[in-house]
Amino acid sequence: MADIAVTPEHLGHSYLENTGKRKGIAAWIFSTDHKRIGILYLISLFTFFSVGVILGILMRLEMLQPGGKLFNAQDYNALFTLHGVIMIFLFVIPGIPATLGNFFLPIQIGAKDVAFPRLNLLSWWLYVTGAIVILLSLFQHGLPDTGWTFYVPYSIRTGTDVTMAVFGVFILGFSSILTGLNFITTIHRMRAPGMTFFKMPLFVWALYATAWVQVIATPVLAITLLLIIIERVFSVGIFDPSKGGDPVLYQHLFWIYSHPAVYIMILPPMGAVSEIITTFSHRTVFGYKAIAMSSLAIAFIGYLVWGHHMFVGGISETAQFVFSLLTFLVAVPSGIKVFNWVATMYKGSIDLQPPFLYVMAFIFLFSIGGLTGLVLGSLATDVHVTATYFVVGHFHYIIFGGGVFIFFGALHYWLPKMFGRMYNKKVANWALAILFIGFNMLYFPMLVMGYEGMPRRYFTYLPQFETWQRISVVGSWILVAGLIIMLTNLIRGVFKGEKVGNNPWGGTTLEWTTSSPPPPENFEEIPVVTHEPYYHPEAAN
Amino acid sequence: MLPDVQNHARAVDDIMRFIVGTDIVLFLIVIGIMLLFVFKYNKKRHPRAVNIHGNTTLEVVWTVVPVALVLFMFYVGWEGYIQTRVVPKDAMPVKVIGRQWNWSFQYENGKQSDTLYLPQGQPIKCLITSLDVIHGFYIPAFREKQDALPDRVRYMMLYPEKLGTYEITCSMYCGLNHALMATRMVVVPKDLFTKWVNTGVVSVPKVESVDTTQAKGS
Repeated sequence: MADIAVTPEHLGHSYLENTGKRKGIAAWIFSTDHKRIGILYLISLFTFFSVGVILGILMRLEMLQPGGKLFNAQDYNALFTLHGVIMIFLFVIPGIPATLGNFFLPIQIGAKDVAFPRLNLLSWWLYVTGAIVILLSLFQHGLPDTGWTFYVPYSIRTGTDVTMAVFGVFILGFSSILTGLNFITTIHRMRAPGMTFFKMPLFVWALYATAWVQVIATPVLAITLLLIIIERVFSVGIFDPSKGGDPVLYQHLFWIYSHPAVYIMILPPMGAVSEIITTFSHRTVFGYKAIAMSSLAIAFIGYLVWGHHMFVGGISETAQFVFSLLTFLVAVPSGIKVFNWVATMYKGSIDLQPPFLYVMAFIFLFSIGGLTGLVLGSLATDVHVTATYFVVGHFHYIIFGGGVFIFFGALHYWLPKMFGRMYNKKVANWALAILFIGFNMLYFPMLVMGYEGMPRRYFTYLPQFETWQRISVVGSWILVAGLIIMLTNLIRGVFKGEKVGNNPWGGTTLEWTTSSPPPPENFEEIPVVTHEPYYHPEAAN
Repeated sequence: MLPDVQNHARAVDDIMRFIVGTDIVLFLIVIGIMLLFVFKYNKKRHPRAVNIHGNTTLEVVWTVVPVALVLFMFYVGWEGYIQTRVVPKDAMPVKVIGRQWNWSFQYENGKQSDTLYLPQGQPIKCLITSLDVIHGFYIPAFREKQDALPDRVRYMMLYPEKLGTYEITCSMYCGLNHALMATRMVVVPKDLFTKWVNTGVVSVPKVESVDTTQAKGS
């Protein structure tokens, strides 16, 4: 009798309601529930994203006219350094894994939580600590002005507070390593009965490949950053030639991490693309194994291409040959993914909902990013366009147009599951259209200016670039308008959106089988998996 | 477009046209097919999807064809690059020295200059180094760039074919006045250059200082 009385109350219960002893904010910041931690990350990440966007807008504004009329050189140098550090280390690297990955990885494999829930909470606290240390560095001896790459010997000689900023990034690295470790263990040990590796959703495969990169590559960055601190604080000659060090060694160590880090940024969005395309095409995915294996191939080959950041730096012709060759090869698995995604639309029954439109925008922008990468991989052309606006345009097409657009798309996809409410779809579509126009107006001119010889990290420019610079500045205003509309619409959806059922899109992965929002331990009872992933019984076979 | 002033600038532009041309074709194919599918298999026109798990032949085709294509692109880029690294016997060495925040040039006879005067038709081997942090020696009109490293000397070949004045900028971020670290390269007739480099008489065309900015940073 007692059981019957408990049931209805239990069913209405979601992870959003406080059940433990703690109340208010404490019930969130000390929660070990992976869903709450995911949301903590989401709030923190988007806070820093907003700061990064404001810095970016200011950088563009400076380019309205040549001559550094708005900011002087020192301030502009600090702006692009902070924009880079915040966007890279506080937004895109934790990115989808820490937020949506944290939330959906356990649910997609039918687990109650990640393998180490407390470690998961610790990684969020490390993230916050690292972020605070970086922020503190701003108020000590002036803003850091080295660029996010902290290239030596400049970063060792500058009077600004690089040590503190670098130490902040060092702490953030641990957050990333712990998240990776947690995901790998969770995927190996916590899958529901029947869920073999080849029945896992492709989002999980992408997170798996990413987690290995996080665990293996991040320590190299940590060591490199420590060496900078040792050199600055104790004057040990490691990188600075005036002390007997080697600046090229620094570049090697930095890019051994930071190139694989590009794949930390792009693999998880690729996983989300596979989810969204299959759901809205209402059919099974095309080339499941090819997509899953290409994630691993990208993660693996991605380790071996760091030298392409140094083609005009201190590497030999043999190294240039090898790195250029491998760089071209790493383009292939990304191509394979794109082909399989487009093939997944073939004979589907495509529902053009906002998340799917984001995926279409992604394929458009990511293709431009990838194809401009071929210009940079080719030695003859790289020599001319490297370190110019061309590179800036290229990586924004990849990281922002590719990765971050899908971060937005994935939020539109999973938000109804996370909060049980739907945003306004019409507004979402308009926001995307505005974002898309603004994005291309902002970054396409950069590709042109780069080819015409506009170096990056300049607070001023020659008059011949004025027209393109101005188009780009206006683009940044349109883009930011799109961002504001999109985020307002999502936030409004979370609180005031129309209530939706458990499976508003007709998705087939496990998260769509539980309630919206999910209960604290994700499922009423642990599911048993019998079907292949993306099994659409309603489709013809 | 940038002026076309020497042999390998043309070669770089040709390779650029080849890669960008291929890029555009690939882009239009992918986006075209995507839009076609989205239109044709829209749920209104195609209410019942078909589960297709894959096609091994297709997977092989779209792996092998891109591999062949990128290997060819790699080869073209490498060939184009390695030709710019050939040093002819009669190349004239010029030292290029970067420091925060200006360039200086030193000729064989020890003559120094802030503007890079070069004789027309003479292959030049720039020996590039830095006195402090890393700089980037970049001449957009020649499609050439090389980092100036404080602890070593790297080289760059220049073949000035046409008389004229070209911009030199710094491509590697080097601190406060990175954007102002600019000068000019002036290609002059050989006899004029010989007179200038030996006598120091400024009979070469005067060059106004590069005004990147119209206003100096503070």
